[in-house]
Amino acid sequence: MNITKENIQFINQYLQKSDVLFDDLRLELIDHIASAVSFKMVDENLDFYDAFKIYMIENKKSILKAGMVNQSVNFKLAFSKFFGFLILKEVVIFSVVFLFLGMNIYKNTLLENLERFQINLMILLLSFSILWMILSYGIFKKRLFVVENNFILLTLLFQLMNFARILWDNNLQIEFYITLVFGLSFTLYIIFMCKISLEFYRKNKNLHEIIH
Amino acid sequence: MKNSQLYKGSLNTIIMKLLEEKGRMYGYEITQKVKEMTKGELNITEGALYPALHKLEAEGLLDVEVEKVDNRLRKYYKLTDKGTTETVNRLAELDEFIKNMQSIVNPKLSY
Repeated sequence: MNITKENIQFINQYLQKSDVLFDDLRLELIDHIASAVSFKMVDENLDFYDAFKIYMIENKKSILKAGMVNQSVNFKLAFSKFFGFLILKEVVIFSVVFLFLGMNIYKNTLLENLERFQINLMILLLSFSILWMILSYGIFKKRLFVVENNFILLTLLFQLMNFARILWDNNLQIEFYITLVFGLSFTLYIIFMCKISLEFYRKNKNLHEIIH
Repeated sequence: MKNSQLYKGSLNTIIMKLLEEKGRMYGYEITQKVKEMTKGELNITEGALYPALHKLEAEGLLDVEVEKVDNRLRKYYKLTDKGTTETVNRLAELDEFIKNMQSIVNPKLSY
């Protein structure tokens, strides 16, 4: 039996109200529930709302578990994806060139302007995050777990950099290397996010016409 | 999932085996296929299935295709080339595991 557009909207709203916040996770669960409910409607000769009610009484806990975010698993996933990106041949070459230029040709310029370089790094990160939020929430109006999950890495890198700066605050040489390494890490992270977002968008163009 | 601790470690292999046979499948279809094959003995819950699918996708073993079906979008999973190779390895490992279990639990049958 066919599930109507209104039925799909009903399931979507139900899941949204149950805190299944990410659109890509919700999309799968909508299809899962709709498939199960449509079979139940036929097998037990029920209307949509009765079939939905019975199905959710039996399966709500498991359905909502599938829509929740497990931070420890997600961190491992995000980290393994980022690590896979870091060992790409082009990325390794880019990193070597970046570090070579920073440690040799631009070393004196960087040492003289270390604080300004760090501030610019912060501005870059802030601009990237703001632009990201404008694109996701303002233009596409989507929260995609597959992409957003990787922000956990940015938080980690940011905290590590602050910690390292506090630890070696009085040593200019070490601060220089820390700034250079984190400058490279943040640049790679931004490239990584753009790359996976673009790949994800190309593969899942349909997701952007998701039900409202 | 019935006897969840026993089945937990094999969930990814079960999913990959099904995808190897069927080509591509969506979440609900996987749960129903497993139920049907085991005559209702094994019930994969949504809470176990979807995180497993996402993990396999993140590891590059599965690829996805999204299609519009009956007023909604459906996400199909299929094995990548890497996933196909890995399925063979994991099935061999599982087979070995079953044989070892057999020799421990029921030594007479294993000969």
